Amino acid sequence: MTTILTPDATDLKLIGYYLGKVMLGIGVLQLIPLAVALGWGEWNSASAFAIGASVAVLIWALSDAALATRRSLTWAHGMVVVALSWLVGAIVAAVPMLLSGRFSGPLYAVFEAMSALTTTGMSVIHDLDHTPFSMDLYRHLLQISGGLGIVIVVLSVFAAGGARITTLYVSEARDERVLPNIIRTARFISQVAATLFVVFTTALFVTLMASGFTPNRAAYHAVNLFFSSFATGGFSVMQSSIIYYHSAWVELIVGLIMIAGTLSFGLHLAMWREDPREVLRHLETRTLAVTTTAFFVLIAFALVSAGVYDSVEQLLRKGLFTLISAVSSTGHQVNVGDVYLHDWGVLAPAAIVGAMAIGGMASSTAGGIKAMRIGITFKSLTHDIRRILLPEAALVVTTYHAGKRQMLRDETARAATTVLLLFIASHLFGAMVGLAYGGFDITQTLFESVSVGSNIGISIGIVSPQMPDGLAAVYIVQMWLGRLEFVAVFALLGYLVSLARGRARA
Amino acid sequence: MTRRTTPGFWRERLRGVGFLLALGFAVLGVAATIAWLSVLVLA
Repeated sequence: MTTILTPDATDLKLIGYYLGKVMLGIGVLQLIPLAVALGWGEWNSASAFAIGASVAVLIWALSDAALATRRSLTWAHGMVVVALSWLVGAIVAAVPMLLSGRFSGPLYAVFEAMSALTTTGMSVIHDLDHTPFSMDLYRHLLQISGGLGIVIVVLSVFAAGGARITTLYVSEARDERVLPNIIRTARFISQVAATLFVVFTTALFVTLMASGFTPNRAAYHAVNLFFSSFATGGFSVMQSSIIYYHSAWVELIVGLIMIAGTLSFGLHLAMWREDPREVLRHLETRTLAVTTTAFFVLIAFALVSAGVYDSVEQLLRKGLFTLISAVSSTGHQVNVGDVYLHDWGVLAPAAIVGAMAIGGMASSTAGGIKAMRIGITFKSLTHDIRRILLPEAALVVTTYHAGKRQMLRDETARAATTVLLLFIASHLFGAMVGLAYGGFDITQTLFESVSVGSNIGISIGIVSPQMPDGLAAVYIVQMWLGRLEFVAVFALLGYLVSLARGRARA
Repeated sequence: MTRRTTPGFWRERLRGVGFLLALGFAVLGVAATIAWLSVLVLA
């Protein structure tokens, strides 16, 4: 049996086998905070990580022993493995969180793990400011692993290579291969991350030391800030997020890291090795330049005319930072949620919602609809208008620049519009469920739903350890759908339907 | 003599970080101009 349209036991074995490898990756990842917990004498956390890692490695060992296969993954298998990796991965990654006793229950531990792996950054942890170092580091490690693609990282290391990995990589919501060879792509991504880690962590360390931090604390905050910012995740070491530092320099450095995180690795490659003018020509850069400028004009107009801020510094440190945090899908905050609700009026938060919905670039760590899809949808719209206005016999050709000059094809436009509509549907559904639980109006529930569904993480306060279970479950699904940009999850659903039909026939 | 890094190792890293900083400060420059104009006209 080679097709997955009528799946059988060998398909299930293949999927389980690769899923087991991903669990091994999560288990190995937990050894890092385990070592930190042992070093810092955080014995409760150490035991939680030891149990968590054991569970993950046990799942891998069982799957490897029972399901080992030499069959190759097809595109469809890859999609199913990716969809399940994020779901099962979040559940397995939540084990040490649950054991830490800092969450209201299993659902909230899974919420936190899903928020980390999808680089959303919403947190439901109790008393973050007094969380053990190792647990905090684990949350941030999950974000950077999710951001850089847990599947590509794990399978690059553990699988044999070749087409099998390519299948997984392409279906992991990254529709552009940076380099032709996937191993070289993974190596380039890690080189970019490592270089920026050294540069920006050093810059943050020096800045925090200058602010009076002790060397240990400065290093700890700098490393975690880099992880959460480059992953465009948005978790923070302190409950008050970036406000805690009261430093324009920290905000500037974090802002630069967030921009680095939202740039596609294709553009990083252009800046590193190829023609850097590609950055200016690319459809995604141009789309983000236009939309972000427009949003900032709106924010500046709204906040200054309402008298919320009256200086350039405030507009940049509050308005621009929040906008970059939204566009990059990071979710770092320099305002408490109440400020958006009570002081910012309607127009400025609406601009932030727009920026959150669009998100960053494809092939980056960012979430959201993605600038590429917005750009292609706009090109498609202008294409249709030109076709209406020109004589019927005229041949209308629309092109755009993405790596090279490309012709806009109907199927590209259709795929972009479909995913865009699915994101909007997810946002509206989350907003409606939020309304159904009461206590918030539509603007508030829509803000939170867009933030969750686009994997952003800026919160106006609906997400909290006290939120209703049903809403937490809906938000978990929204984060999962948003991170995988629907396609892989739909492939999984299609697979399950095929499986059920096959069984029914048998 | 044994080469310790691949050719262009430092050059491409400097290029990458340099262009990234240039892009970041270009964003800051545009935003500062918009913010300055807003304060000038509306405040």
